[in-house]
Amino acid sequence: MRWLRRPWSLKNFDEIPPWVGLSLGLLYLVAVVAVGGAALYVQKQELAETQLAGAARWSECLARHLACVQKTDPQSLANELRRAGREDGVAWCAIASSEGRYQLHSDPGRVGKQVEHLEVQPSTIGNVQIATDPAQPHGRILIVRLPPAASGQKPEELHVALAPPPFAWNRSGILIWAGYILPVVLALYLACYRLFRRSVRPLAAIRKRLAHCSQPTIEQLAALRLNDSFDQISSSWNQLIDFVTEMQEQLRRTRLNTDMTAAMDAFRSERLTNILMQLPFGVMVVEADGSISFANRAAAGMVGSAGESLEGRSTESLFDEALRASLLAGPGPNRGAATGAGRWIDYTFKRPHGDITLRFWSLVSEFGDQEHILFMQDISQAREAERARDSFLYHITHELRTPLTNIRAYAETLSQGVIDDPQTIRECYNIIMGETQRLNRLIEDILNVSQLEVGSARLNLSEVALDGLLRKVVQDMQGNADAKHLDLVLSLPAKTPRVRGDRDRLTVVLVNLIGNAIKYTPEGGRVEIDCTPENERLRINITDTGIGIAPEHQEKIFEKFYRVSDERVQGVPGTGLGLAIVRETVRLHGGNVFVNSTPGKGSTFSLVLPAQPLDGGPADGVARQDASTEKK
Amino acid sequence: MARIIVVEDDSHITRVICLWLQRNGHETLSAEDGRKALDLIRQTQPDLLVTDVNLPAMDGLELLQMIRDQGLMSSPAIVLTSRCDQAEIEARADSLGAVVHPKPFSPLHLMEAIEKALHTTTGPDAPDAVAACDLLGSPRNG
Repeated sequence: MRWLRRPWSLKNFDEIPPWVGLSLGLLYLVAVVAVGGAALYVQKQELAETQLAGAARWSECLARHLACVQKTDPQSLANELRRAGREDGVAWCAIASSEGRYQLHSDPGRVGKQVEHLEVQPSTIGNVQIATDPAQPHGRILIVRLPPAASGQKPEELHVALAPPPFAWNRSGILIWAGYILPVVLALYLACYRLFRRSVRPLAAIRKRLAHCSQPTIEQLAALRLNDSFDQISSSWNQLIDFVTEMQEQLRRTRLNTDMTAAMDAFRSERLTNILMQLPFGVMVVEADGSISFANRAAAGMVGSAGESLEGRSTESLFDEALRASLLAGPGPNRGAATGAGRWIDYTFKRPHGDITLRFWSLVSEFGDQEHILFMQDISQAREAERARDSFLYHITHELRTPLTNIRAYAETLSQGVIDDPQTIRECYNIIMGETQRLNRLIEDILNVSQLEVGSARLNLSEVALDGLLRKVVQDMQGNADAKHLDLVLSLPAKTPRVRGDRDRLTVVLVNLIGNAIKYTPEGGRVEIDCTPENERLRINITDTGIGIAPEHQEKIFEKFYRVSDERVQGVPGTGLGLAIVRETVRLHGGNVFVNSTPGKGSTFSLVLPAQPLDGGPADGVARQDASTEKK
Repeated sequence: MARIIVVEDDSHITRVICLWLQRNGHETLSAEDGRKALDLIRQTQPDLLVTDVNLPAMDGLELLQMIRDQGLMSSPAIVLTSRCDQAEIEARADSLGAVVHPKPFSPLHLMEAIEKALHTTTGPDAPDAVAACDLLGSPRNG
């Protein structure tokens, strides 16, 4: 047995509190001593009783013997009595008379002495009474009545005092105790100890380990394992711990995966929502009951609720019934125009700041029950661009065909010999030449716009004296102004700062602006050109008393191909390119152009260009060439 | 010989048409816009109208409509146009008894069309007033 080979293993009460083992051992020791003591006591008592019974019978025999001796030989009675008094286990013998005196005594010194008061026990052994010897604490005195020697004589008593047995270990008792009881009890104790230890120690170890591990981690679970794997409890416990560890590991992995998946899902969802929110297209999700469950910023802006949340609102407040019926109907063949990209519905909304045309794509969601996804695109600008392009084509066709018509007609006239007059023939040639130039200018305009549009326009920079340039342009335009009986007035300051720019392109800018002023000013009106230096800038105002421009058109007239759809404008030839060229050219020079106009009263186009500072004083302070009207 | 009115805002075109018409022996009248044309037609009762579509204030087809509405002329008219929406113009012109000639046009073909149109007319009275076309003096518009 292992614990015998390693006796020190007995000290392994490590997991059980030491006082348990010690108390147990002490208890066993007390029990062993008590059992041993009790056995010895019982044995001793039984032995004393046996001796007493023997002594009682012996005393009766002695009493009869003495009675016989007294009858036959009264002289030898004392000798017999003394001999009996020397027997083992007998302290003394005496014959007490009825008067209470010892007639005869084995101790000669006590003959004739008064008998002490004896405490006679109620129990008797035969005819023998037992009394306690007052002289000996554990001594006994056996009292036997002697038969009366003669009639009328009071009976005498034989007193036999037993010598108390000396207190000494019974040898056989000690041997029994030491030889049998002690090893058995010790063996029992050890077996109990072993069994108790084997059963209790794992439980104690478990209790001790669990005391600090209410919710153990995997590492702590490993520490909860028991080393005594041979033990059933330990083995089961370890299996349980292994199972829990594995379960916890699986749980940890599952939770990790779930957490990661949830985090990834949340991340993806948030990212997608952000992307959706920032899309330039409107995206709106409409539930079966017509309520909006999602709308991105673009969608809110398109339906006129920019900055507001549409979620939870009903589409009834946004779209009229016919549009809702078209958008939220089930998929069918008659749901608007269809292309490879899907079905769409274009719808124009009336808005205070201008109509807006939206193109809707409506899809039935694959995920929701009767849930619709609406994609919205603001095609107002595209529509406007289409309109502008159509308008441009319309006008450009007209503008191109007009000089072509002249060229063809006059060429054919000349070739057919319709005219004989040399002067008229020359004029016809001049007309052809003029129309060719007109055609060329038109093509130049288109090219200019094209260059400015794609950003390939390059400036041929030089120091341009704008006063001289203005004079020249005004001089060139004077003929047109005269034809309409207009006053064309140019006001220049005493000193005009130079502008670093492209002379030819600036000429085009001024021709376009002054030409427009003349074109759109009714006969008898006035066109003023005013040049003012402002710090490091130069402002040129071209003011007319023309038809004016309505506020809603004032910004748009600078867009390419845009022409106001007004009879008075449409009647005037134009391509819608002039002001676009002006603005792009001026911006290319680092300046800008503005318009300030009142319909019916006239317009002022302000051209602001970066200018080089004048030498010798502030530009504003120079005296103006008042009324320097240059009317040629 | 017929009296023909040419309504066109481009004076060069007016002039070349008038040249050809005069060479063919016709009497020509000209106007720059619809209103002037209407006045002139009321005064002179021409036999044929040659008009551009794009005119200031009132377009050529509106002018023709008013002429028909007021019963000023019943003869066929020639409509010149440089616009790209010719189909629409042709439909409108057709309903007004006019023939469309796209610009740029050949003067020779235009004259043929005019002669053809004159021959299909019921023969209006000879013009009693002649307004010479101002060949060189009219200002150019646009």
